[in-house]
Amino acid sequence: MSTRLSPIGLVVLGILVLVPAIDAVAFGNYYLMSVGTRILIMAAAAVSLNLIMGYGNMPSLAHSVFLGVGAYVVGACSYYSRATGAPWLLDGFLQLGLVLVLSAGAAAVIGAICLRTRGVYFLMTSLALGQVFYVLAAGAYQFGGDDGMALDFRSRFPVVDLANMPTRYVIAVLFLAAVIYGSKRLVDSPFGLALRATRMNPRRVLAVGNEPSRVSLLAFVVSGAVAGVAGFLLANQTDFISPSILHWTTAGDLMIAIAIGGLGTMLGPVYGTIALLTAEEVLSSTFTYWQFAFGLLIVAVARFAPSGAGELLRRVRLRRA
Amino acid sequence: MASHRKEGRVEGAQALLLVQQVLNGVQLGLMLFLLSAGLTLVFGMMDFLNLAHGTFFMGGAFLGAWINATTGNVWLAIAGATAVMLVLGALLEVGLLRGAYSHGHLDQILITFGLIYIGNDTARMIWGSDGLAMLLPPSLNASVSVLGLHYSLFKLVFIGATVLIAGALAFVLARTRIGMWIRAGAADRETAIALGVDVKQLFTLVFACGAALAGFAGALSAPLLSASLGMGETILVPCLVVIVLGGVGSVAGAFLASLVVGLVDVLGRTYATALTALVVGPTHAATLGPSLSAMLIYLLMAAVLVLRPGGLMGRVQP
Amino acid sequence: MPEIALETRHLDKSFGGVDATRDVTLAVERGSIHALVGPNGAGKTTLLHQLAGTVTPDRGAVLFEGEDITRLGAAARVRRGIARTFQITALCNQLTALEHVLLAVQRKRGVSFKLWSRALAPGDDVERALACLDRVGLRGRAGQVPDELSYGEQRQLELAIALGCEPSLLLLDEPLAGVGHAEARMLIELVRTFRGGLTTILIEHDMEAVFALADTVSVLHEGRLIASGHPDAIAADAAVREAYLGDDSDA
Repeated sequence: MSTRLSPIGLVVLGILVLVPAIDAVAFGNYYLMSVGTRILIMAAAAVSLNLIMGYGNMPSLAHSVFLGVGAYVVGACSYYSRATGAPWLLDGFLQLGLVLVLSAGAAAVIGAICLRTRGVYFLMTSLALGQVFYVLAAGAYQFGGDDGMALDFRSRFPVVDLANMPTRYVIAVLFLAAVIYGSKRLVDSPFGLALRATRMNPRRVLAVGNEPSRVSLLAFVVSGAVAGVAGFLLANQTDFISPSILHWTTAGDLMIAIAIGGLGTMLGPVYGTIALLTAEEVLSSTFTYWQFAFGLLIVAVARFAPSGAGELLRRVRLRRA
Repeated sequence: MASHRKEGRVEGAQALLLVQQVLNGVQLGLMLFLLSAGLTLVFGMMDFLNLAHGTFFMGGAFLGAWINATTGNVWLAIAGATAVMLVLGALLEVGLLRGAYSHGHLDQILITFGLIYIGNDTARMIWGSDGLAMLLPPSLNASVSVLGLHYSLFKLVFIGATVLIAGALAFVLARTRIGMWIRAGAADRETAIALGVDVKQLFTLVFACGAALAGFAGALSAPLLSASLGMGETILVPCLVVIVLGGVGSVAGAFLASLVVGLVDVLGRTYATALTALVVGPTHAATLGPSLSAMLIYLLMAAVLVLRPGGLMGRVQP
Repeated sequence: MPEIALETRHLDKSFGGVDATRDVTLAVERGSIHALVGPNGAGKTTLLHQLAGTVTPDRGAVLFEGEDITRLGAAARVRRGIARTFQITALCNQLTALEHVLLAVQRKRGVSFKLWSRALAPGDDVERALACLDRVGLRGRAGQVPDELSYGEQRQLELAIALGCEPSLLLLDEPLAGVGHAEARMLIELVRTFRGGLTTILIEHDMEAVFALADTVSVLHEGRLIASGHPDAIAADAAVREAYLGDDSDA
């Protein structure tokens, strides 16, 4: 567990982020930028999950829900704007406000119930409760039911045009930067201290006069709201919503990314997501049966690098030093 | 449905529908029990949450459908699928999972999550993306009539076979030495070790039997659901509800919770719209009812968690 | 007339049929040092748990500053001013001594739910936390995590955290167990300074320390309060001798 934000890690991340931009500007290739936008948004979602999982011991498979809430707000506003002809529904700030309220609200309800349990029980409960929302989305026939639907309109902001791909990329980069900075601030804050203490020893937190469940719940809500914004950006990026974003395996993928990068480290989840989704992108365009290879990869990492690849690197470095 | 000449006839039809749906609920519940029994024992004994447990279910369904299509023998198909999952479970436990018990939960989740990917793609390689239906021979694909109630013969066979298995499981757990070890191990690993049990072999046995039960449930369900990719992840969710409801490590709790979940789910889907209509009127009920019924078992789980965080029959959680 | 800080009335608690506390009625004067003694298994820690709110009594009431707090949770009691230390230290393995005390200080100052400021930013919080560490003699170990502290130092840290809560009633569960001789003397002197201000309830096996510190000694035996009074009176009490001797002959 570390609350350090490694400068080298940040520099490398900065360089990685520049690659798609250079590819687009210098060579006119927008493929990396398109893939990169999605990856960076998912990386931010992974950072938000790591906040509760790594620093708060809440392995939540309900994280898909909040991504879904964000995405479906965009979808619903687009749908009803077309149906009623009301342009104000497309206002980006209004939508963001809705996203924050709804994802935080959903997180408060799910969190309050799941926090009756701990550890793997928490995981099971969050999975089951999260699926309620999946079922709801899959049954929402006006939004395409199981198949999902393409968006008629993206969210509209003054000046910024989300229809423009480089704009979306820049926003994704800024969003990720804000989420990393924000979670660093949060982990270092008095609240972060209480959250970390709750993970290590809830009795201690109780004995200084704080309710551990209240500390955990606030973290869960904050993390859910961040994931909601990630879902909002994701829907605007893909121009499409479907219930699959709400399936528990979406949160499962984020967990894998966190585990590969290093649980409870500031930048591990970011690198984990980049590695995982890049591997997925490469494998899926190379092999028909890429999931098989992907599965083998995950099993191998978990079996032979139990604390994540980041930890493995660190240990190798320590041995050399 | 039936003509409405007499009120009594309508009521009779309603009663028959209720009986039919109760049977369906019991059938779903028993299937969930086959899956949950293995899952809860493995978790209770080894502190190992196997997210890929549903993959054995899918494997059983595909194998059953495939063997049935090749040989035309349903019984051979079900037995074969069960046997293959038993062996596969044992191999996985010895070859991969045994070494991961000492790892944290996160790694266990990762490994079993990876296994889901591997399982799904393996099924896709062998049987394609479209899934596989399991066709019953005419002798089984019939319905029985008792007192005006028509019910699928195969579902009755399903219920009968599952009750037999559940009974056998209860007998083994309650009356045999191995069963005693398993119960001791599920309650407290240290006790089992103190009893001089070879825990390693016991774990392998329990894991393999859990996989076999899941495969059996899959093969038995294939004629009803037909085998498809991703069915394992779908079925895992109600199984976790069952385990949380029943209390982790308790087979009796899992049995009770399975039946409750099966009945609530089936009866909820049947009657939710009508019941919702009483409150909000028929127009809203048509859209609200189905969503509400799909959520019922989760609401039930939430309610039990609030009232009894350890589950219906669970020991107190750590 | 002396004022009563804490009172218990007919407290009963049993675990699975075994009575841990039986009809305990007790009054603790404000500003006094009140020692709970008794042989092992007498129910001292269970009683302390019921005062701290981590165990709910089956019957009876706990009154703090005249108010019934029997149904109040542990955290709420801390917020009312009751802090405690644990017999088996309850520390966080990756937090430094300073961070442990900060947890308490920042809760007391109502900033535990601040998400944006830095917990360790130099200022009032850190100063107060360091002052608490200083009082228990751990200032020089502020940057160490529990694993780097000796067992005795961990006990000192427990006390520093409790002081960080700025309580009006302090519950100490064997604060001297495992503490080195010099540190023990320092802690005894520290507890002595609480007299007149901070009401202290103390479980301690070190009888020398108990008789040096306590204004009142209460003796528990098999869950029952068998004697309570001035240390000299207790030392002369026949029932107490019997309880102790009986226990010793068993052990």
